[in-house]
Amino acid sequence: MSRKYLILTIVAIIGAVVLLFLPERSNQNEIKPEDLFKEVTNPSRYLSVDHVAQRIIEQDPSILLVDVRSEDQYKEFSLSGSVNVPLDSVLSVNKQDYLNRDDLDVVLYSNDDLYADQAWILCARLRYKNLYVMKGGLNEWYASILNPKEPSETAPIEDYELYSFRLAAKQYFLGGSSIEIDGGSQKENIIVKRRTKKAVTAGGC
Amino acid sequence: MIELTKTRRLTIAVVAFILLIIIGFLTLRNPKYIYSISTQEMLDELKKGNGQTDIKELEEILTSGDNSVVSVDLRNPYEFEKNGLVNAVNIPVSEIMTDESISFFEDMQSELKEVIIYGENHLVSNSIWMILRQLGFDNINVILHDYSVLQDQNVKIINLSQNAENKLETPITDFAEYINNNAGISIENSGQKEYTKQIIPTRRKKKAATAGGC
Repeated sequence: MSRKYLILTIVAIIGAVVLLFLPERSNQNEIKPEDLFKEVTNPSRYLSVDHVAQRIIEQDPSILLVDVRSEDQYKEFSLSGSVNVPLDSVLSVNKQDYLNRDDLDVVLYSNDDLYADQAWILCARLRYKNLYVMKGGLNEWYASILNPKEPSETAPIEDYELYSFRLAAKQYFLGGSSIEIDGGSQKENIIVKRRTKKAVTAGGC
Repeated sequence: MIELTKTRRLTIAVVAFILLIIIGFLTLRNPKYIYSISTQEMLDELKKGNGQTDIKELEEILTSGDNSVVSVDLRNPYEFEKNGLVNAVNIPVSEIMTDESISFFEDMQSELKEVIIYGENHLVSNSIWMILRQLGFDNINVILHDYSVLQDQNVKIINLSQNAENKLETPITDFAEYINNNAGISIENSGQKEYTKQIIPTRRKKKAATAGGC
């Protein structure tokens, strides 16, 4: 064989071998850091506790609540219909079916919103969509839904509407007689005083 | 027409192949930013609680005048003008990924200085910290409190408020106890799938990487 062909073949083989062992630069499963930054600084992932409460009350089938606290805390108390994916195991294979969904809105929450947000950021890097974070977490849930504060008299009407929504939500979550009526318990007998109508003294006699 | 003999065709094919490889190498663009740790490693860092600085530590550091620690304020410039801490650098969140800021962090890393970042609230500072950590900056610590806790008074020193003592992810009250005490109806094991909802885990088939050609 002539030298020309030999050189050509050798160069081609070397090129092919180098390509074979080229380090895998781009990871197809992850988004680029610039895109992650854009996702992370976009606040549309935060849902208010009122929004989540409404969807629970309406029994919205398109929502899935995920508790990222530890298993013990989850067993002690968590929102109805939620599943438990502790933050430590948010990347484990058997939990991905809860997190990586394109048919439901997955709402993450924890006692506050820090752990939920951390889980969200980890999943965002892996290109998961439809993930949300409940802003304020269970602490906010406790403060707003379970103990709604009556708005001041000068508050706009939206505040009152929100307040009555929260009262209704509280009633839903805690059961019937958990609403205290200002001024006494419901068992108080209300005595109705009947005032006899005095005949109107006509003018004159 | 020149009749291409078999050997000529072969030569042309091999030369074209080599040319393609060379062009491929030349046009290989290095991505601007690459992650230096995997998501699992990031999760491990979170578990260990690395990089989360206490307010008290920050106060000690800033009042000691230690030059090897730099504090970075992530809020917008107007807020920073109003009540930023002395000697703090202001890098608003929107400018974190600019060449300037990244080279600033690289300088800090090469000078072995520690950087403490804080922002409007714990969510902002945590997100930025996670991003920078995943880009490989392991000398950055984050303050996970709202900025109002750091607010200064007349003289620019830190004024610790009562809230600084509260750790972030502790529940305000014992939820289960509260529910049990206040529920109108007794709820047993409150919270676990009260309304029947089938959660069908969908097994996703791993898509085989589409090979070129057939």
